[in-house]
Amino acid sequence: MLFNSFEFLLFFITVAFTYFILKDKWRWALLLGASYFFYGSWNISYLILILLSTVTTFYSGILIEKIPSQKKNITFSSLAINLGILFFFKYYNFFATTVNSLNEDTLPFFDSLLPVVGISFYTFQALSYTMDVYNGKIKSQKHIGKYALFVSFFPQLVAGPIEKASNLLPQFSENKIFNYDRVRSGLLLIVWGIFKKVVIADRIGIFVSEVYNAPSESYGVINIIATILFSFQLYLDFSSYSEIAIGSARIFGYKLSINFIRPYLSVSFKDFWRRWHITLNAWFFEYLYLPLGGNKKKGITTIRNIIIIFLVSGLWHGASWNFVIWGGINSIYLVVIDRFLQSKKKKKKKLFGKIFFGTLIMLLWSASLVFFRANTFEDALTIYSNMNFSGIENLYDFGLNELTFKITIRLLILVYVIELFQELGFTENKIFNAPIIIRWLIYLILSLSTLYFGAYGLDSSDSSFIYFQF
Amino acid sequence: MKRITIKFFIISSIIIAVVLKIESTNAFNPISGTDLYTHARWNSIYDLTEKDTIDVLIMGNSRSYNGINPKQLSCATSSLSFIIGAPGTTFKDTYFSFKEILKRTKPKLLVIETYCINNFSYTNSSGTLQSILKSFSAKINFKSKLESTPFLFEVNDWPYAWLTSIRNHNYIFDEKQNLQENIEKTPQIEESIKKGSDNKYVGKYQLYLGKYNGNSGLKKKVIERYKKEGPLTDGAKRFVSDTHKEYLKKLNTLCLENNVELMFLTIPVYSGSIKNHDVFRNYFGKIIKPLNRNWLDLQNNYDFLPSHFDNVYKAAHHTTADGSFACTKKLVDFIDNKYQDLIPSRKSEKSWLEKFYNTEEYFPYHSAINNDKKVIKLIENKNVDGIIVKECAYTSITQKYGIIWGKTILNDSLNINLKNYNLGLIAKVKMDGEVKNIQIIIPYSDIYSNGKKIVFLTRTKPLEIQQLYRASFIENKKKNSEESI
Repeated sequence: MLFNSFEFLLFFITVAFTYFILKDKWRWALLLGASYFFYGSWNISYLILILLSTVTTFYSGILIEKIPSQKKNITFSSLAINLGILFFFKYYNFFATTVNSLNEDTLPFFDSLLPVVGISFYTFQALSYTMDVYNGKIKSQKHIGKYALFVSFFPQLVAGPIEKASNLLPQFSENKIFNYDRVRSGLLLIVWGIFKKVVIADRIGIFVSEVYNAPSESYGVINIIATILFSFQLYLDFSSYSEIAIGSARIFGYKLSINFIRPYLSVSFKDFWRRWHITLNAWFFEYLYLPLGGNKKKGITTIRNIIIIFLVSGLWHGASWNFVIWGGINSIYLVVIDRFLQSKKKKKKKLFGKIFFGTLIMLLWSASLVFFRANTFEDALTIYSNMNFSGIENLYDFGLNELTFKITIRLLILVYVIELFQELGFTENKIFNAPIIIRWLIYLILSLSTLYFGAYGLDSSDSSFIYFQF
Repeated sequence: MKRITIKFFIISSIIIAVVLKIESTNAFNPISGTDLYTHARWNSIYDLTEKDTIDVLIMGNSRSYNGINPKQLSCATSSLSFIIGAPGTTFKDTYFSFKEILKRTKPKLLVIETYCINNFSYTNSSGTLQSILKSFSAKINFKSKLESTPFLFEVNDWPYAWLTSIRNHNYIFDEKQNLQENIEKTPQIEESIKKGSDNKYVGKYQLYLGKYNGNSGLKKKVIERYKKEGPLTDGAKRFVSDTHKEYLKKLNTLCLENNVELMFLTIPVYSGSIKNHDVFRNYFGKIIKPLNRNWLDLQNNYDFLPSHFDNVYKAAHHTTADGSFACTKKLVDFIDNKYQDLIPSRKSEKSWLEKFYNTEEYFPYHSAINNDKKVIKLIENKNVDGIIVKECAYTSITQKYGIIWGKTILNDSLNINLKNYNLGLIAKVKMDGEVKNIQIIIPYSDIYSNGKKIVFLTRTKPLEIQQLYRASFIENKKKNSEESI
């Protein structure tokens, strides 16, 4: 069930209305049932995996507190089971292919092993709970239902934000009173997210797919434009998902973590990674980077730790060497490019500096995304090797005619300008404080634009969110 | 909560009102020919059933309306036949279409063309959703459409089913010119499928009784290709989904409840394009056996000619106009044989005669009405070369053409095969403003001749026959090179 679907609209309206009619003590049960229904709508067998993850991490939390002498073993078992499931369903075939390429037919390959939507996200979320209990940062949850809801909460189940138990779990025990402003704010966030996804991101995706799915047929500046546009597609697609997730949770009264803070206005790569997929980076920082030593030992150890984090992060995104290479490139950016950017501190604080350095970061980031988007390693090399500044006359031959291309660029600029204003302190409260006619005009324009200008329909290719594949 | 619910309701209502307003402009109506034909067929049946009942209803996908000539069928059986189908539609959709039609008329006989009884659903077959949408959007009964929506479409496709502007919203960017044309043309198209002054449908989409055909038969090059590259359809790989099996039972029950006789019909494809049809025949036969219904399988006992099929190398090719005549003839014979007393004869009913009298298909089966001055009788019960010609006459069908026909009764004592003969007339005629003596050759008609009677028929320019000098049977020396392949 995609967020940008009629089915989800009916589902959400039903759940939301029922939620506010129900007594507070049963709301967790409604949300849990709704979450399992939401997840099961993809494939009913997914529920077995999420239940397994839920049960193992729930009981590991309890046992860690009950048998402190065995907490290391218990934690290790929980990690082994959950990472094992993740490895098998997401990485086994990749691993087998790699081993078999070195030594033929060593390992069997399972054709029928289908990717499990959201497994990377909820596994990390559940494991963060285990590790926080192990480290004494939180008490174990005794209510299995509410814990199950923490693991499977539908707004953030399939593509984050990855929540820490200390943030989300306690909220399920709070009494949630209907709040008009919160619900209104949540609705606006959802509508904005769907608009960005359906009208802009998916339309950019048409152009990008035309180029990247047939790399030998595109060349020149088209490849450059497609790559830069992909960076915007990825950002808009993923950030819109996060906004819909946050907005949906907000309607119910739950606060989810922010996942993006205008990353294309970053002034360094360090800044970028504090603004991009914040919750995943926080997870890696806390549960991998710091245990490795973090930056306590300066120099080569820190560099090693950074490289490890980015390679693992790349692998988290997908079972392919392309993602590992993508991660590696970004680790080099962080280690090498940022040294240069460190010296430009004063200039970065001004608006022009933010735009300039933000653009520079975005371009370098885009260059790394060739590996992220290309279907194969060879395709990525083809895209790079065909890049030059010729061929602009073919711009409208890749799925978008002149009109749609120009409109898309203008909408991108609009989003960028809005983000600039947000960077300068403009918040959604300015909208809510505007006259009613302005507010309603904004709601209507966003909704009707999505309906009539959205890149969806019977002839459209898959419009699922990009991060669902991770 | 009340406040936001009210505001949410108001904003939603404004959005819905805007969407409905856009819908009402018809700007996003589908622009392809097949959509328009499907709409025209449904408009036709709605209009027809306002005042009349349909006796033989034929349903299915495009094979149904390409494979059968409803005017010929109507005249041959002295009934009112109609073909309602949508290209590529599924049997499930056919079931709901029949349910809607039942609200307006109860046919005596329902004929289902079997190609729509397959394993296609729109999750496994691209284009099937579009086909079902075409059929769905052509219907007007709101309640029927509402009832069928959850069965025909997945939830995410409900907006596409009900809102043309949402389904085709990409016209704004990709088909601006067509948007404009839709706005301009829709009244014209709606006009063209309304009744004209002669109470029949006029205009570009002459889908009177829901028929449409192509004309070019199989040529040597394509036949060679079939021989070289082999058949495209494998009967052993044709299956019926569990859903369609379930709907077969439902349709059977619906027919029983409404006292409608049900039969199945398979319109053939060119024999070179299919293999293992016997496997499918066994398979499908087992499925329909419990229903205890007849099945006319024209792929079996195949005696069709290349000219009966479209000149394409394609699995789902159709019959030509000639092919549809040939199929219809077999269907007529089948109905005569199996459902003798089922279909009432309406040949003396005024409403029936208003539709079919003075059409080309009428005269081969029926006699002219007494005192019809438009019908010029040339021969009546006369011995011509030792053969009694019951009737030979001329009438104009339209301003552009007329027909001459001759009928004789099959007689075992005849020692010639009239199939190899033409009926020849030498007459004084006025044609193109000129009076002259001409010879008119009337060929033997495969379409209208059957086991009981022999018909000769030809089209002519508009004529005024002033005097018939002579009639004779002339041997057809030009041998028919087409063989049944």
